[in-house]
Amino acid sequence: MSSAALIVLGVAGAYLAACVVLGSWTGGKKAEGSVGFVAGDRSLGLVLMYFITGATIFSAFAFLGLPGWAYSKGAAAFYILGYGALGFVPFYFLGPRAARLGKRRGFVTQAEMIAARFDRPALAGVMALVSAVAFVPYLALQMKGAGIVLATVTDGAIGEAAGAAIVYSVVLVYVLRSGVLGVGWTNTFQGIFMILLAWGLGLYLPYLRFGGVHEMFTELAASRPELLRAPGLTADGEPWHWGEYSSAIVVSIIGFSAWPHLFMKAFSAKDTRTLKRTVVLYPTFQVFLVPLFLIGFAGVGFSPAPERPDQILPHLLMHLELSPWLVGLFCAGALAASMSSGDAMVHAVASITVRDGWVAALSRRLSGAGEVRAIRVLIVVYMLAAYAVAVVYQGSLVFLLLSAYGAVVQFMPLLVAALYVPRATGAGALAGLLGGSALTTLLVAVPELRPFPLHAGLYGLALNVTLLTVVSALTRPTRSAAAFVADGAEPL
Amino acid sequence: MRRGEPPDAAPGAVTNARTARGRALDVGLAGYAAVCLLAITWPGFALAGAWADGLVLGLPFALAWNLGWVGLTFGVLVAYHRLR
Repeated sequence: MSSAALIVLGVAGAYLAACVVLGSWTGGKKAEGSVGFVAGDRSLGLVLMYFITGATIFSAFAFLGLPGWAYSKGAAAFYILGYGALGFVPFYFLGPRAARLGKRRGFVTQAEMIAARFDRPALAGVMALVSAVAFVPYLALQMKGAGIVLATVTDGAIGEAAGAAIVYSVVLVYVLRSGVLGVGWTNTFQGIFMILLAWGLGLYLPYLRFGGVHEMFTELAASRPELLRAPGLTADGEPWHWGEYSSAIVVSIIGFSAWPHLFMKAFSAKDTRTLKRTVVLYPTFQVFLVPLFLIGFAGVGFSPAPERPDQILPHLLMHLELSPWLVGLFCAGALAASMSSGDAMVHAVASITVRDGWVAALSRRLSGAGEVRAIRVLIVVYMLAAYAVAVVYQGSLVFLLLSAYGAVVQFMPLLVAALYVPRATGAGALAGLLGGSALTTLLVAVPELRPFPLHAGLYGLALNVTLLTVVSALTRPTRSAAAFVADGAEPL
Repeated sequence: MRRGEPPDAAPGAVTNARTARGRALDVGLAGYAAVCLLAITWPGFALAGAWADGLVLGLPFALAWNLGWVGLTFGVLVAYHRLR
């Protein structure tokens, strides 16, 4: 291996070591049991909440998929900026209600709150299942991103599969050791690191290739105007349909707050004021996306072209003969993007499976320590499952993300009904969730069945809301429904 | 008596006024969200941001349009949070 490659790997290795130390050290003070491991003793302040929500969302897909889309599909990538503007706003209202219920009734996951509201343990089981179906591909996406980065910067010396295994072994260490506190502190470190690096590269690469950002877009407007014209292009280079573009934004906005690993943070926050301020500050994290668009556009017309659009950023770095220190820093930043989402996801999905599947749906009793042990075992199991998907799947990172959103968006009607509508019933919620999820899955698998070119999740959502409304009207709510909704609304 | 409260206001009247103001703010935020959604999807974005000519602060108009709505949303949320 050349000395340049050793420097790259040395910088990336130092970053991984820092993550292990920080993630392991910060978990030492939490209480034993699931409230400590899953909800961080409900103690997370504004800084940790800001970076957990921000860094969790800006993942491998943002660092690799987004420049890949800007490079190959142009303005189509702007949909990500669009949904980020409004995506977290529903949480301003849902989050504090869930937090009050969590404190009053001991909830640490989204599904156990919903199952309790509707007095239907089966709902928790179905939500755990849907979460697993959505999370495994999303986690695989993060692993795939880490693998792509290490494989590209080492010129194939470390393969994609081996790279993903190395990076996620590190994640495994600190998530197992520290739970949500380890996730929170590493996300803060990774978030700051990613922002600095993205801006550095986002300004430097257009300068290197075109002489500056303004010059780059002036040239692209003349030579490739179709890339700058909304709604951008499809993978085949044809103009994207406005229906697909708009419905992708709508589904992402509705689904954003419903992601279980994000929603669970309502139970981790110190107080409702912290939650609201996190939502207010969230759009500022969108500024991090701008340099990633610039990086993608800087790759347009570059020769040789990368094998896949998702590789454009590492590909540029490797072919522009940059300093190995800079390449190493990029490598660490991209790994940070992957890890900051992957750690929160694997922690959430394992917690959900134990608390919602095993304890709530199947009514199995576990001690606090037993729950944490089971969650730790499942963290390993889910890592292995996602790793298998990452090794086998060869498609686009953004397509994986959009498919996952289709499943998760089905939780939103249940969350709104649980927290705001006493008249909604368990039978209605279950019918809506099952119907919506089944239709979405069908339309993702066979997109030709869609009557209009809209996101599959939108059809599932329409059926979900219809079934929830109609079946609720035909059945009786539980006696405790009104008291539950009032408990969420009443300040602590 | 709290700061800003009229000297002869009954407690119930103050609560009602606060509730009415809160509702007005909620309706305002919902209205803004609807306008923003139409602006960043079809038809707003199709009408305003779909051409390639012209740069705003060195960025293509379609990108600047979306960024502008992100900035405006941040401002609206700050105002809503402070007033609410």
